[in-house]
Amino acid sequence: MTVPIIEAEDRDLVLFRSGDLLCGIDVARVREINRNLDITVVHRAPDYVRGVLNLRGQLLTVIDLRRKLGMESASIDLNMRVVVVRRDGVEVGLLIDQIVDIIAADGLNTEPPPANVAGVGGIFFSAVYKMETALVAVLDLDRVLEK
Amino acid sequence: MTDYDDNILQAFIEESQEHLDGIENDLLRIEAAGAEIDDDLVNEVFRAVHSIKGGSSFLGLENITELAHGMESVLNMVRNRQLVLDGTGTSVLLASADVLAGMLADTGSSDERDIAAELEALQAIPDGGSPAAQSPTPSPVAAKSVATPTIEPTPEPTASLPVSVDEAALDEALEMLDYLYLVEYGADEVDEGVLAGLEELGTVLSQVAQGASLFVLFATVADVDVVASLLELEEAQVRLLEPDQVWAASPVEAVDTLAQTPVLPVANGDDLGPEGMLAMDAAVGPAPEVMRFLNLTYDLLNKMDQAFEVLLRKPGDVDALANLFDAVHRIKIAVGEQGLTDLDRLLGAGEDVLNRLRAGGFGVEAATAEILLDMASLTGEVCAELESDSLPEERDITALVDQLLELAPESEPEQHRNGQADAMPPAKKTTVVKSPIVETSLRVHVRLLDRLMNLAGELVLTRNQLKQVVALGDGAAVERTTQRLDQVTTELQETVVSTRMQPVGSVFGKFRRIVRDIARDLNKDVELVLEGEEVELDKTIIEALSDPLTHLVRNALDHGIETPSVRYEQGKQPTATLLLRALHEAGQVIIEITDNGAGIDPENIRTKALSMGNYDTSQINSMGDRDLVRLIFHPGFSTVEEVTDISGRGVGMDVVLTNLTKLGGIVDIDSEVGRGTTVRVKLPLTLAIIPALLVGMGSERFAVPQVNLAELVRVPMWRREELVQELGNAQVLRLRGNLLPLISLRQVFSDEIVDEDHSGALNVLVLKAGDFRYGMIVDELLDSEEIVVKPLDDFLSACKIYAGATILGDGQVAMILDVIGISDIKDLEAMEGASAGIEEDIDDLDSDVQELLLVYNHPDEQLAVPVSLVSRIERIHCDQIQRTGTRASMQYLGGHLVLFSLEDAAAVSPRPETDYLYVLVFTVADHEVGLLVSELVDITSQAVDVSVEGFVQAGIMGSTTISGRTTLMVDLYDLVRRLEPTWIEEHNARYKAESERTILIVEDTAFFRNQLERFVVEAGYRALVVEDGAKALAELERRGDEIDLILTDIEMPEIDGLELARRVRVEPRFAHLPIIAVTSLGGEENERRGRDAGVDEYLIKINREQILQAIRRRLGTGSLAL
Repeated sequence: MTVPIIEAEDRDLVLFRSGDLLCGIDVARVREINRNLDITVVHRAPDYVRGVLNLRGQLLTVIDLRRKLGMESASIDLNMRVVVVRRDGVEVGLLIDQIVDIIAADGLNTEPPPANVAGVGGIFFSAVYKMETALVAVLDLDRVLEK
Repeated sequence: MTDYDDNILQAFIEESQEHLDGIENDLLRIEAAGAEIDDDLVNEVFRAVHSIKGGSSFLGLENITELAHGMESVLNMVRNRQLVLDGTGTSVLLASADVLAGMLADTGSSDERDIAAELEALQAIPDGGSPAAQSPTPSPVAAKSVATPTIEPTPEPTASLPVSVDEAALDEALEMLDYLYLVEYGADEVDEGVLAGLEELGTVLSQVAQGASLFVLFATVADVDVVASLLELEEAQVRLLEPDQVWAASPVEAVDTLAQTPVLPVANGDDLGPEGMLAMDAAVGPAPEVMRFLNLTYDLLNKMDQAFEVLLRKPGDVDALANLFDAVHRIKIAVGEQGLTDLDRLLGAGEDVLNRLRAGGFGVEAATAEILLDMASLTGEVCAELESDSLPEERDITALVDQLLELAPESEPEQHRNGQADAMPPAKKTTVVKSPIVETSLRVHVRLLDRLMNLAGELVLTRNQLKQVVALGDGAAVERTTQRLDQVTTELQETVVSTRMQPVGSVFGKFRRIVRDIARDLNKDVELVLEGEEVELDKTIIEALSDPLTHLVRNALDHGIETPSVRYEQGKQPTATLLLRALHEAGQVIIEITDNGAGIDPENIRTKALSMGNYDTSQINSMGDRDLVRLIFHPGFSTVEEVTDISGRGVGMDVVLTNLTKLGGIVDIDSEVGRGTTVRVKLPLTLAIIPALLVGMGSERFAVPQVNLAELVRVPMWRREELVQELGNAQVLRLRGNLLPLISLRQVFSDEIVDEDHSGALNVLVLKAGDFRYGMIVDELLDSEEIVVKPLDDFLSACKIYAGATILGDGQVAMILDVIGISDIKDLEAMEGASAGIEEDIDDLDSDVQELLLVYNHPDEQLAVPVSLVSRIERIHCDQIQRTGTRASMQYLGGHLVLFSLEDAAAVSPRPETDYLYVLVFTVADHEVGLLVSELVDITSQAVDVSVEGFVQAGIMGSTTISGRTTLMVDLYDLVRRLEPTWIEEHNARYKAESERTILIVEDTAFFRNQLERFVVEAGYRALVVEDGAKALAELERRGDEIDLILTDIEMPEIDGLELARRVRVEPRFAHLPIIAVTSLGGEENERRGRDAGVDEYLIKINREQILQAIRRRLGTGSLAL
C-alpha cells in the first residue's frame, strides 16, 4: 500500500466523536451543524444511510457515520448532531455522536494515517492529527461520501 | 458584464431561440409550397431572422449577425420571387439555423466559431439552387412587376448605387449600430420640411447630390416600412443599406462619382450576387459596386499596413491588433459579398488567427506577421486584377491557408479544407449535433402574472383577516377565514403550476424536421401528421420527453416504415404515415406514435429471444404475442440485423422505457404485422405537485400517488379468509372474481417473512403498475393531500422503491412509494397470470365510490354533481330560456322548469354566454329544478374522496381533486335553499316531526359525517354524531333511550356498520331501532348482507332526498306527502 502524501498545511478542524473515534473534518467543508434529529427512516436504503431530514424545506440525506466507519449504529441521543457537508454541489448530512471542539491544526503535527488505524474504517482517513492528549482521525470526506 | 446586460442578452437568446423554433417548421412549409410562395410565411421567417440579426448586432455578436444576414439575403430573394427554395436550399437554411441555434446556446464563444462554410453555402443557394428563371414561376422581372407593381414607375436606387458619405459620420453611425437608409424623394418633393422630418427620425449622413432627391439617413428604427410610414413615403422609396454599400468618401467625390455614373446603371439581376457581378464584365470598366468594393478594400488594406507597421515594432500593441482584426474582418465580409470564396476562406483563416491572438492576449510574432502580410498582399493582387477588369486568376491558396491554420491550431481544419464541399453539412449530422438547450427561464403570459399578483394580494388580505379574527377569538370567523385561506392557496398553487404548463407542440414541432431529414437519409417517403399539439404538460416533462420521443420516432422510421418500393409491392400507399398524437385521458396525457409500416413480428422476437439465450425457453414459448412484442423493451434486444446510424443497435428501447417511467409515464406497444405499430405513452400532467394518499405503517407515514391508486378495499376480519388466500409463499387478494398479488408494506421493506398481525380488518390499496395491478396492505389510511415532490439524491435513488419524498405539514419527511418499483423489486408481476383480465368495474367496487358528473360552469372551474341526484340532462338553446324578473325558467314536459345558475348563489365564475347549454334536472324539496351549466366534462367514479375536505361556501359542499384538477362539489340542496328558501321552509313544515326525534349518525369520514349531520339537522331532527361503531355502541349504552334511529356507514374501522347492526339487533333494548345504512357499497350481494345483519334501509351516499325519505318512512313522519 502506498502511503498518501499529506501536505503539511495548517487548517481548522471540527472535532467530533463517532463511536470510540475522535474525528476531524476540515472546517471549510462544513456548511452547518444541525441539531434537528427528526430523521425519517428510509427502508431499503444502503445500511449507512440513516434516513432523510427536512433541512428548511430541502431534502437532506443523512449518513450514519458510525455505520460508514464500520461500527454499530447507535440510537438517537441529544448530543448527536448532523454535520451538513457538500458533495458534488448537493448537501449531505453526517450523523455524528457529539461535537467536541473546533481547533486550529498545524501541518507539522499532521501525519499520514498509520496502516492499522481503526480497522475497516481506515480507508476513510486522510491523516492523523496529533494533539497533546489524543489523536484525531481526519476524515477523507470524498471517501466517506462515496456511495 | 452587468446584470442589465446579462438580462438583455438572456432575453435576446430566448427570443431568438423562439424565433428559430418557428423558422424550422416555416422553412419546411415554404419548401413544400415550392413556387407558390406564401408571402406571409416567407415574411414571417424573414422577420424572425431579421430580428435575430438586429438583436445580435446590438449585442455585438458578430458571427450571429453575419450568419443571420446571410440567411436574410437568401430569404429576401425568396420574398422578391427571385428564388424558389428547393430541398438543397432549404437544407442550407436549416443547417444555418442550426448553427445559429448552436451559437445562441453559447453566445460567449459564438464569435470564435467559423461560419465561413455556412456563409458560402448560403451565397451559393442562388447559383446551385434553382433560380426562379429556371422554375415554372414567372421570370424575375415579370414576377417583380406582379408582386410590387408600384415600384415599376419609380426609378430604383438599387443597393449598388454608389452613395458616398462623410467617413467620420459613417463610422459614428456604425459605432452606434444604427441602420442605414437610403431615402428617395421625387425632385419636387424636397423642401425644408423634408429635411426636418428626416432629422427628427435620425441623422442625415449626406444628401447625395446637391439639390437632388437622395438622402442617406441613419436611424435606430429597424424596419423599412416603419421609416417609410414615418416619412409618409411609399415603402419603395426607402431602402435599407448595408454599411459597406456606402462609400466612405467626401461628399464632393460622391457628387463626382454620381456625375460619372448613370443613376440606374445596373440590371435587375444584379443583386443576385456573384453571378450578377460576373455579368458586369461585359460593361466598360468595373461595375460601380465592384468599384465600391475595391475602394473599400484598398482602404482597409491600407489600414492593415499601418497596423502591421506598429505591430512589427511593438508586437503586443493591443490597439493595432484590434485594428488589424477589424480590417481583415471587414475585407472578409466585402470579399464574401463579391463571391470571392477562396479569398473569403483565406481571410477567414486569418481572422481566426487574429481573433485567437486577441482573445489570448498574445502579441503578433514576426513569423505570424509574415504570413498575415502574405495574405494581405494576395488580397491586394486579387483586387488589382478585378480593377483591371479581368477575372481573378485561379490561385492555389491552400498552402497559405494551411500556414494560417497552423497558427491557430484549435480551429477545426476540416471546415476550411473542405470549403465548398462541406458547405452543406449533411442534415443528419446537424440534427445529431444539436445540443438540447436547457431553459433557465420561462415565458409567462401577462394574464397569468396578473392573476398571481391578485392571488398574492388576496393571500395577504386573508392573512391579515386571520390575524384579526384570531386576536378576537371568534371561532366561527376563524373557520371562515381558514376556508378562504384554503381556497386562495389552492388557486395560487394551481396558477403557479399552470405557469409551468407548456403545449406539447413545442416537442412535436421539431419532429417535422427530424422526420424529413431521416426520411431523406433513408430514402423513405413519410408524411408526418401531428395532432393535439395544444395539449399542455409540465415543462420539466416536456423537456425530458424530447429524447425518448425522438428515439421512438427514429425507430418507427428506421425499422417500422418500409421503403416506397417495398410498400408498393405490398399494395400499400408508397407514402407512409407517421402520426404523433397527444390527448387527455383521465387526468393524464397520452402520447401516441403510430406508423403504418411493417409492424413487429412476434415470431421474429421469439426467435431472437431464444437465440439470445437469456430467457427461459418454455417461458418464451408460452408467451402471447403482446408479451413477446413487449420484449423489445428488455435491455439489449434488437431484431434488426443491420446496425444503422439512425436508431443504433437496439440498446435504446429499454432506455426509452426507463426514461419515460422516470417521468411517471407508462409505455405500451401495439403492433400488427404488415399494418404498423403504435406506441402509447401515458404521462402525468405535472411532476412537481401531485395528489397523493398518505398511508401509515406503525408510526411512519408514506405517500402513494393517486395516479397509481385504483381503489381502496377494506377487508373486514370476518371476510379475510374468504378474500385473502395463500398461494405458496405469496398472498393473493380475491377481488370481484379476480386474484391480485397482495403484499404488505412491511413486506416491501424486508426480504424476510414478516410476522404480521393476523387479526382485524385489512386496509388494502389496489395499485396500478402499468397494465398490471396488485394489492398492498397498509396499517392505516390517512389523508389524501396534494404533495410537493422532492427528488432523491443518488444515495437513495438506488433503492428503487421510492419515487421521491415530500415534506408534510408537520415538517416531517414522508417517502413517496414507487408503485412500479415495488412491483419490480418484489417480482409481483410474475404472479400476474392469476389476475389477468381485471376490468374497471365501477358498479360494485368494494370501496368508497361516488359517481360524479363533472361539468363546467365557467371553463376554468371544474364542478362535480353526484350522478345519483340528477334525474335528467337536457341540452337546450339559450333562446329556450324565459326570464321573468330575476327568475329563469323553460318549458319542460308540459310545465315550467325553474332554472338556476350556479353563480346566483355560489361564489363561482359566471357562465360564459353560449348558444347551447345544458340543464341538469334534479328534485329538491319536492320541486323539480334545473341547473344551467355550460359544458359536460365527464362522468367519473371517484374512488378516494374519503377526505373531501376543503372550503365550504354557499352552494358548494367542498372541494376535491379529480383528474388532477381541483373540483368543487356542488351542493344542490344548499343552492335551492339559498335561492328559494320558502320551498325548503314549506317542505320542512310539512314534514316537521311532531316531537323532536334524535338520530345517531355513525360515519368515519369527516366529509360524509358533516353532510349527514347537516341533512338531518336541516330536516328538523336532532343529531348525535360519532366516528365509528365502537363509539356508537357506547353512545347507545349511555343514552339509548333518546335515540330514535341509527344512520350508519358500512365501511368503518374496527366495528363496521354490519357488525354494529348485528350487535344492536341482539340487544333487546334496541332491537326495534330502525337502522339505515348509508354507503357506497352498492350491489345486491352487499345489500343482502346488510339486511341479514339487520339493516332496514340500504342507501347510497349523498342522496339527501333519499336519505330523508327513508328516515321519514322509518320514523313514520313522512307519510302525508309520500
